[in-house]
Amino acid sequence: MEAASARYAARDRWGETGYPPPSQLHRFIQAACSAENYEPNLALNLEISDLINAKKGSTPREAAVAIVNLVNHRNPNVSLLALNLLDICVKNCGYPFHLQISTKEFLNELVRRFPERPPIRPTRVQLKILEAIEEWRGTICETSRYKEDLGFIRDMHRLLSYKGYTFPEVRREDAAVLNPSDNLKSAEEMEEEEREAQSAKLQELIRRGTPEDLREANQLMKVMAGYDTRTKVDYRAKAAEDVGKIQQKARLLEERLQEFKPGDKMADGDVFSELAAALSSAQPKIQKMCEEESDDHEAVAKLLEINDSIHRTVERYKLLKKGDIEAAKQIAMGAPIPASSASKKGAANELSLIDLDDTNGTASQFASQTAGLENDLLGLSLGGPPSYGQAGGIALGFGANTNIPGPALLSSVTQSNRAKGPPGSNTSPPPASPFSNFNSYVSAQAQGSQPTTPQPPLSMMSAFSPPPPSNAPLAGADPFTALGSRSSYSSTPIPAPAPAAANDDDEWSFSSALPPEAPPPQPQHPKEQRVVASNTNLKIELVANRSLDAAAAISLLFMFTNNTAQPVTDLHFQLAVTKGYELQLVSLQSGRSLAPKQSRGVTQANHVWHAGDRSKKVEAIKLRWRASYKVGTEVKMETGEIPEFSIA
Amino acid sequence: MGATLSISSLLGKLFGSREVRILMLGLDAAGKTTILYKLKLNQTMTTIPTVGFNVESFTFKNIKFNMWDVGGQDKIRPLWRHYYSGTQALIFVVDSSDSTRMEEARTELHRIINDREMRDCLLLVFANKQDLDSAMKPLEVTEKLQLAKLKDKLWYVQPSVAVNGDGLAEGFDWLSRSLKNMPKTGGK
Repeated sequence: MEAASARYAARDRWGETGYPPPSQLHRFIQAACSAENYEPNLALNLEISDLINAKKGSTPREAAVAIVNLVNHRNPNVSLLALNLLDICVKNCGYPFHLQISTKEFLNELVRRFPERPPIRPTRVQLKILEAIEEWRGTICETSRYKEDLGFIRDMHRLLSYKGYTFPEVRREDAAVLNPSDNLKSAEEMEEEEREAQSAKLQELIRRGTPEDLREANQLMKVMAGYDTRTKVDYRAKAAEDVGKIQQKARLLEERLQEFKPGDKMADGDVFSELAAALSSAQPKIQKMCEEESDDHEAVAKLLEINDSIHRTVERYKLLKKGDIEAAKQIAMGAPIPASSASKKGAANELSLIDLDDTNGTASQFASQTAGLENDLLGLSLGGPPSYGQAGGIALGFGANTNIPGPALLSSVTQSNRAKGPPGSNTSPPPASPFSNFNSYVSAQAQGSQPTTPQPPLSMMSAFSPPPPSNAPLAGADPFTALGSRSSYSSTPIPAPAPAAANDDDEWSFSSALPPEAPPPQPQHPKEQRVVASNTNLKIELVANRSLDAAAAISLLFMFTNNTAQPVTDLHFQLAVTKGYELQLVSLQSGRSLAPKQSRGVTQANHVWHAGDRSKKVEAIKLRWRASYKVGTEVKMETGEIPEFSIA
Repeated sequence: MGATLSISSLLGKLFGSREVRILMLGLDAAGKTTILYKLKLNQTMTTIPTVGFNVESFTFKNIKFNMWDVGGQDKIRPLWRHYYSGTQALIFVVDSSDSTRMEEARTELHRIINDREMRDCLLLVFANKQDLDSAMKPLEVTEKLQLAKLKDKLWYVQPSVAVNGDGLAEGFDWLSRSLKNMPKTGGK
């Protein structure tokens, strides 16, 4: 490095004598930062960044080295021009260049002229450098997909702060271009991007050549050559996820347009235009995706449908913007409303902007739910690798979708249980919360009046919540099918894994948001609650009461009955309570198998305590359970939820 | 620190002990990894197909060779270009007994040589596996690889048997002579 910089410094002083003729890149950089320029030559700067992007390979590095040497030029004008060029390159050359500015050598070189202690009045060059570092730290170090490769920028920032340097304020809008764009990308484009990044990284690792770097390079080669597919990201799934996000934007805009009244004004740069711009920019991408997916007819059909609905929404926006409300209504009405067909056919395999929301509370929804359950488990076991964020997506979607504290959610669960089991399970208390009737209202609205515009129910939901984030496509399943059936699992309760609280904090924490004055189902708490949690092959009964030895806790006794004429074996029952409570196992599950038709052959007893404070009385609880068992040789898995109940 | 470093490298240049970066490529199963470890350890190793690369350095005739051996399977070939930068000599290894893949080898070789970053490097071809009866003679290999078409390129074809080390020293002899004659190299 020193040698290299010495060489460049020498070139700076004595021209090119004795050195190979400078490359086009070097000539361009020299010209762009020549002291004869009064102001940055934007055209040339952009040409340089294009050149870097086109040549790739070691070009980003060469450029970074050349520029940083000019930053340290004695003439502050040259320095400022070089910093301007650097800024352009960072903003236009993407990860390969980011990787270069985050090397130790580059950063050390960048601050080479900084005194040990911060000067009372930093020079303009120093201010610019500090601003650049601050900007990088606030953007690419936070938001880049490969931010772990850019750690030295953060270290340099920390070092400078430690030495007492203060960083100038960076205008977020100016720096925002460094954040990954949320433009819709097709699977192929994403793969291409990933390949580029990997190439740049491999190049850099080989150049550095330390043993660790070489080890990493070898590993990376295996990934790039396709021998190591463990970390491979399913870009089709990701693309599907992104399409889901676009759908949400469309929904949001549609909903906003709903509320648009004659006399309202739309201005440029408001939410409307922002959303409409995002949608129109997504349209060509969706068309491109259609081409890419041409061998998957189902996906193409879905994408086209999405495209159509986006088109309608955008058209409507345009008309409304012009003030032509009548025509806008025409569009909405004239358009085939997928919702109507969806509710007839059963939502699961219909893709529309609407069915996610308006079937949210309807019972028909839950017909598809049993199938959705395994999928949910799948989703859970995914564990959400960071690049996916899918598991989180499920949880969020779940919470945000209903976004109604506990009971309303429970009401849907009760329905689901009824839909699943024979109607003997009615012992569970009827849901009575201020919100539960909201849910049913939504469904009534959706089924009853034919909506003139696609989504009245949503606008009601959204009074409570921002639109739910996109649902995670399932691993393994065709990601685009997931697009269609997303509604089915957005409202499915996620089965809680057995070790309870720790795992499902996320989606369960909302129980604490329950207003304390929320009226419990019965004004007087019964001394004992009997609930049939499930009544399929396996009947699961719960008796909840207070036991003498643990007065503050609620005692639970689960009893399992075999409804089939076959033996049930390998019974594994797991239970979870909401955050703030803890489960104490009183007696182990008394056995793992049930003879045919054996009634209450297996029992399990638990206490539920307040976590950390066993003197506090547990008033009301709700539970989630999961049971896996074998009927004959067939493995069954069931999950469910026991709505909140209280014990005197 | 910087000053001492550059002085020591300057002295190194004066007294001829230099570091050379060598890239060894070729189709899969040509014998690249075997050559590398024969040179490094003077041992004949039973190698497995290289997925990724190996790098070793050794000194020969006062020149320190940093030799990169990158796997030759077709899936890895697109990644070869990442190793070009700073390479002063390319060693291209061919399996002389495999006449069916000479065409493929020629395509790959010319693709490498025509890359901008490989413009100035020397080319040493090891016509390997000469111990096999069906092996082509160096002249035939030269012809099949169409080396005569290369302009402004210093190249040399050396028959070799990697498993017993025959011809390797001769090849590196040529390399070190040519490197010393080269006026100046692009790398450090």
